[in-house]
Amino acid sequence: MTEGKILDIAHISFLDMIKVMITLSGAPSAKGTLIRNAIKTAEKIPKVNYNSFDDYLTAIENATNPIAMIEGKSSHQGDFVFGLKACPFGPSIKNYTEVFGKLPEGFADFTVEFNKPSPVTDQYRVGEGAGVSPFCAVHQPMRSAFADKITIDGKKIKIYQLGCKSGAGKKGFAEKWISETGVSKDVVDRVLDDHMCCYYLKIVD
Amino acid sequence: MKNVLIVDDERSFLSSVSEGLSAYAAEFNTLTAENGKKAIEILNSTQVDLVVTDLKMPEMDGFELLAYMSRQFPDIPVIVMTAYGTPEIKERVQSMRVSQYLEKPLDFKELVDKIFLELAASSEGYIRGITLPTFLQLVEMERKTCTLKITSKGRIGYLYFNEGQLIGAETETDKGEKAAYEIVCWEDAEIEIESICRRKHRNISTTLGHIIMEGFRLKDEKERAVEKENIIEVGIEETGEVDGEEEIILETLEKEEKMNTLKDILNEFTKLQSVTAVCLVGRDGFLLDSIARTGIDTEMVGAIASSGFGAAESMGRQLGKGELTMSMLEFENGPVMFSPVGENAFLVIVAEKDANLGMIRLKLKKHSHELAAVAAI
Repeated sequence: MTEGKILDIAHISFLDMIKVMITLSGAPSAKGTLIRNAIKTAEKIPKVNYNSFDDYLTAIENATNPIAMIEGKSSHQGDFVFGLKACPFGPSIKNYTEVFGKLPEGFADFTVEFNKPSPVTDQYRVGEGAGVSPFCAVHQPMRSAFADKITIDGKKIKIYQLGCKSGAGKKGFAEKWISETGVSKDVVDRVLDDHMCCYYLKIVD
Repeated sequence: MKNVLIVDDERSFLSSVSEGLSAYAAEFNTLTAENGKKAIEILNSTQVDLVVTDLKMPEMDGFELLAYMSRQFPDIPVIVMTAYGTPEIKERVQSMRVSQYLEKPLDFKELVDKIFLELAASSEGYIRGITLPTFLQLVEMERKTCTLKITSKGRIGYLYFNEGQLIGAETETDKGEKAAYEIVCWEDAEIEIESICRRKHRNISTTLGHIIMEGFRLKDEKERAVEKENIIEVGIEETGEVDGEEEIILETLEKEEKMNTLKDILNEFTKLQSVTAVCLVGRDGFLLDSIARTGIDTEMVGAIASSGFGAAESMGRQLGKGELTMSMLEFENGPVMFSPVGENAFLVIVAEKDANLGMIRLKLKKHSHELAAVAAI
């Protein structure tokens, strides 16, 4: 006798909850709620300083870096460009689609909404084409908000979301942030060949 | 001791109000007059702090009294007593920018509350005299036939009403709607009223409400254009550049102007009595700008309002009602109004329970395009 499939109810509920939010109050409001929630989560973590960029990278490797704690270990691709192998929402998506076959309806509209320019996505340097699913609206601002709690050698850091890849392999590029950081789109494209998420870290003088 | 003058032609009403208000003799004196003429005699002989008047009276009616006060006592606050009659009239009355209205038959407690409110406001230095747009709307509402001579800062204009309809207007330079747009916006207007309409033929074909709204819109537009020209002139003078830098200066000024415009517009709402907060909120619930009394968490207002507004929109779509144009939630201590401004934002107005909802709606209509333009940048 097999145990059958055991679902993670938190995953299932979260995905359905997003759909409920979209249905009840519209995609823009749902987008705001998810982003606000991500920012609020970041408010709970203490500030941390790394003496050098190398120390910062070591903390990622040790999974003691706050950003690594929420998304797993990203790898430095050179010139402050990072790639993240696995989407932190991968298990949720897998769990859900294994049972229900596909993601809830309305997610595509939500993703379009997230990619629209807005003051909050500007503030956290996310979206603008880099969103490939509603989960990006949680993950990307949360990472940027966590970065606001981190300093390197006493200097603030800023994260720019350059691109992201969906489970189906579709790549999304944030032209605005690619242009602002001066990173080549080819580089982002290449990083996304092997990673699900690509971002840039800027140390602010 | 402050003096409150009650003007009404019904003796029994005057004596019962007088008697009732005697309970507040420690706070203010109550004076009474049976018509406008007697009221003027009192105004000229006694320091009056507040006038509560009916509109329909013999000898000299409330309009003549208000017109006289606009010339001789423009700073004395006025409460107008009127019978609404129909919900339409009630709404129209509530949309006017007069200090306070009281519906007849009077609710005595409401009268007392409003008297105290007005006396307190005038003590704080607010000028609460009747404004020209309010006066005109009263004329319309009471279906009065008259000719109004309006004087303001050396200019003279005439407005002609036939049974409450504005049929004509003229100034020294213009006639018809063009003249009316100007006159209704004149500040510190002195009004003279003659109870006949001295014009036989119409030269105005639109409503008074539209004339007032359009007049103020044109005035704002004109003032902003002058302001912009002045800023550009100063900017160019300061930089000494006229060609290459001019575009950058203009661009910066335009952006600054838009932000200033936003503050100005929000200020327009907070100037209204009982409006405690006005927030321009992105559809995602993040605040774009706000003006609020201390103690109001506008960030939170924006976040919560976004859900409420989104929910109202969803309901409208589910029910096939089309796009949402306005939503109002009424609470024990006053309403909260939401109104979409363009595709990107909505406006939240938080008010107290005695708020003039009609005036808020008027301002919303007037400024919705400008707000949408600012929200889109």
